[in-house]
Amino acid sequence: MEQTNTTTPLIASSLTELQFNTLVAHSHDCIALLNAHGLFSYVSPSVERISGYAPAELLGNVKDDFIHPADAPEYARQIEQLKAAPGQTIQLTYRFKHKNGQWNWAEAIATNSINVEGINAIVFNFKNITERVETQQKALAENANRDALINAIHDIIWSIDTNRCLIHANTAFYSHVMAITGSHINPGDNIAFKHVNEATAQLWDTYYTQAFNGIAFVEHLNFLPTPDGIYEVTFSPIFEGNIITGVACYAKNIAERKIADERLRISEKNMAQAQRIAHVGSWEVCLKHPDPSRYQTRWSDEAFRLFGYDPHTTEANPQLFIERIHPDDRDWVVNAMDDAIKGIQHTKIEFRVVLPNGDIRWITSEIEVETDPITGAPTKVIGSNQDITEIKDAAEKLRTSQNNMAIAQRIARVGSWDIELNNGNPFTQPAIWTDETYRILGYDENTQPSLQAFVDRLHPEDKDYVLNALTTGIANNNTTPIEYRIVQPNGTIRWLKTEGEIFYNATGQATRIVGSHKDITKRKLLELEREKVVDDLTLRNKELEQFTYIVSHNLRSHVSNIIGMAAELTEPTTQPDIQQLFLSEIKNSAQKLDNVIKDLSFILQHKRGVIEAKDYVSFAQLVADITSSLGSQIAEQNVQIETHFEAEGKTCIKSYLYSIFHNLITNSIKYHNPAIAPHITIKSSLVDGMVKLHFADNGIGIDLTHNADKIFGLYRRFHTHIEGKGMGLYMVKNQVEQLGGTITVTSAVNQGTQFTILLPNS
Amino acid sequence: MHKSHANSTSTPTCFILIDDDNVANMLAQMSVKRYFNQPVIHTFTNPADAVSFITEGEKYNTLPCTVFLDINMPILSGWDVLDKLEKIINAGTTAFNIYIVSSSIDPDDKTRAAQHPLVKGYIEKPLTPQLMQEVFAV
Repeated sequence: MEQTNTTTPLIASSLTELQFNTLVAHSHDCIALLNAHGLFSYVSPSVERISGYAPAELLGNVKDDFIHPADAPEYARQIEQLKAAPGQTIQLTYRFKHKNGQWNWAEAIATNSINVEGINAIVFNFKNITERVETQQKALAENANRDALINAIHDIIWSIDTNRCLIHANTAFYSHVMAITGSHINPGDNIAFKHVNEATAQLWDTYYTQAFNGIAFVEHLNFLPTPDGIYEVTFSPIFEGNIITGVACYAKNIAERKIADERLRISEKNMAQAQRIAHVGSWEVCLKHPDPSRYQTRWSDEAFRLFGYDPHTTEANPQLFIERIHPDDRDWVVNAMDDAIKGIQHTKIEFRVVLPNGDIRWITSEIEVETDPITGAPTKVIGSNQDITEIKDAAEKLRTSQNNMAIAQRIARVGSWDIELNNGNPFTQPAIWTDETYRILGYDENTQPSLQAFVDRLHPEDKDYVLNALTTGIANNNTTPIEYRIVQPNGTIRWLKTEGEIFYNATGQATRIVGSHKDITKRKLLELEREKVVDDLTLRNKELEQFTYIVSHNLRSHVSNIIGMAAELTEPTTQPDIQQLFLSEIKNSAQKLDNVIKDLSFILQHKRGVIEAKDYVSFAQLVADITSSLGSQIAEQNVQIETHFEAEGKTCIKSYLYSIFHNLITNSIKYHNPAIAPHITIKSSLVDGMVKLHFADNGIGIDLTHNADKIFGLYRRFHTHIEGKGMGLYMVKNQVEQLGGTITVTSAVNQGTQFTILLPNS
Repeated sequence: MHKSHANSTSTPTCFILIDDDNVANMLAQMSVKRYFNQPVIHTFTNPADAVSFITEGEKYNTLPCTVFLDINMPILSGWDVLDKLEKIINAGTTAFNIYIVSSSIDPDDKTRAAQHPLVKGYIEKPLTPQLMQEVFAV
């Protein structure tokens, strides 16, 4: 900023000395003359105001440190330069030390007038500019601070003047404009041309105009074509006094906030919807008020509806909630809530509410208590309520239905079961059993149901049958019911009828079998008994028929002989010896005929049933009586009778037992081996509650290979050389059976005969 | 009721009578003698002896033969005899014409006789000349 002024005279020649002195004395500036040696040769009085020094203190003197060390070299260089250029004028700015020791800023105009006659010095005209410099410095610092501030934020800040020219902006503004327009903008440039299109420019211009009207306002705007969405722009007029000199703008990107707001709104809406669908209401009560009736309470819309309130017209209030609780539940629910708060524990309760229309609904409520992290005191109760009426009803129906089924199954003695087949080993796979199935199979409720557990109960004789039915049933989708026995743990044998249904998947693989076990023991036993009765009756009938045939045969065989012989007797050609024989034979046959009729009468008498009283019969006594009655026969044949009576006797119809013993003993004697003396062994014992009688002889025996079924038949004879009617064993069998017993025989030719009789020991 | 004789025009000459009852055998023998001229009659009260005889008979060429067989006999019944004969005689042979002669009225006996391949007929006792007429007449 050096100025060249060679023509300006320092002192007007026209001024009087007085005028000059007065002028100099009152000037703000100080005038000084610096001689060729760099010393002040003149200093005007105003120097004292500027520097604190009196002129006399400065004249002919060079003060060390008067010029600030930082400015001294430049100052010295400029002065030297000036010295070398007579007539030149320069400007200097430097700091000098005030008499009070403080640094001050000085601005000086120095003119080389060394060659000007009468002056011969450098003329200094300087003033104190400290105040001005400090103000400027302060402003600069403030600007820097301001720029740093506005550049530190991502929001966009700028200001324009009345000509729509940019005054000031932050870096976000510059980069934003660069991003939109691809060009740079500088302060002073008209911003109207920095919009992408005319319409946008028009719109912005409208807002600027509005701001120039003196009103601050906020608009949500897009900086087209930026993809980042919406900005909240604040337009503020800049006032200088009453005059608006510009508009300051502040734009904040609110896209994220908008999205977050929208998300929150949607989420709240969804929540409300979900609550509505699930019949779940949520609520919270803030406990931070000394007066419980003034606790801050919030309910979700659905929480209102659950209790029969309109969410739009009702104010949340715990009392409203309590009022709706069923009178029977109210006290304990309130207590439970209090306990939950006091105990600070998660609580779940179920209770009824009564809606205004009288409907009773079941509500489940879960309560969570929040506590102050420092004091541990409860601060907030958060809860959820759910309408579980339908669930409750369904559960109740299910329970009733299951209960009914259990009762029905129990009454019908039917247990059902369900087995998965394609999920590992079907035998060990957990199955489902109803209570009655456990009971029927004789398992307690702790047993894990499985096919194996069922198989374990099967009667050994029926196990293969059942497993085979199961396997082939699955293979052929055959669900024909099966009947079989199981053995319960206490040894009881039960008859079961099992029916099933087999489920197959798309590939035809059996996946599941569902079925029922029915305890049919009662029916089965009746059935078996009936079958036995029928069998017995059939047998009896057959026996009676046979009896008839046999009796009639025996009657007829004699009758036919008599008829035949009588016919021969009437023939004239019959020889006299034949006539004699036939007459004798007719008598004989008539006698036999009479015998058969007597036998018949005897048999029928015995067949009529048990009419005789029962007596205790000693086996030893019985044998003694029979031996005695046989008398000489025993002695003649040298018969040995050996007895071992472990069971000494039994209560019985004596005549029957007598007949049985008599027949068997006389048979043994009758059919003895002629080569050896007859030996008869009779034993008795108790076997399984039955009296067992065993007769064994050393007689000729019977070939039983063809006659096992005939030996006890009426009029069956097995020996031709020994007299016999074939009635003894028939009667023995009949009498044994009348006594409720059985008789069996073992024998072989020349091996003796053994009879075993089992009689019930009643 | 009787099966017709397979060879009714020819006169049977050989008879085997099997009955444990002597009187019945004697009556049968007399009836046969009255109806046929000079028959050869073998009577057996022990069926086992009859079975042996028939077995031997194959050798001695005493065939053809008519057999009257009783059912109810001790040890060997008529059915037992038939079982034994079945083993030595071909079914359907004309050499033996076996008739069951019985006083049984058991329908099982009659059915069994009708179904037996060796049995020609069932005759109810007593075996009279009139009955012979009915069985053997043309």
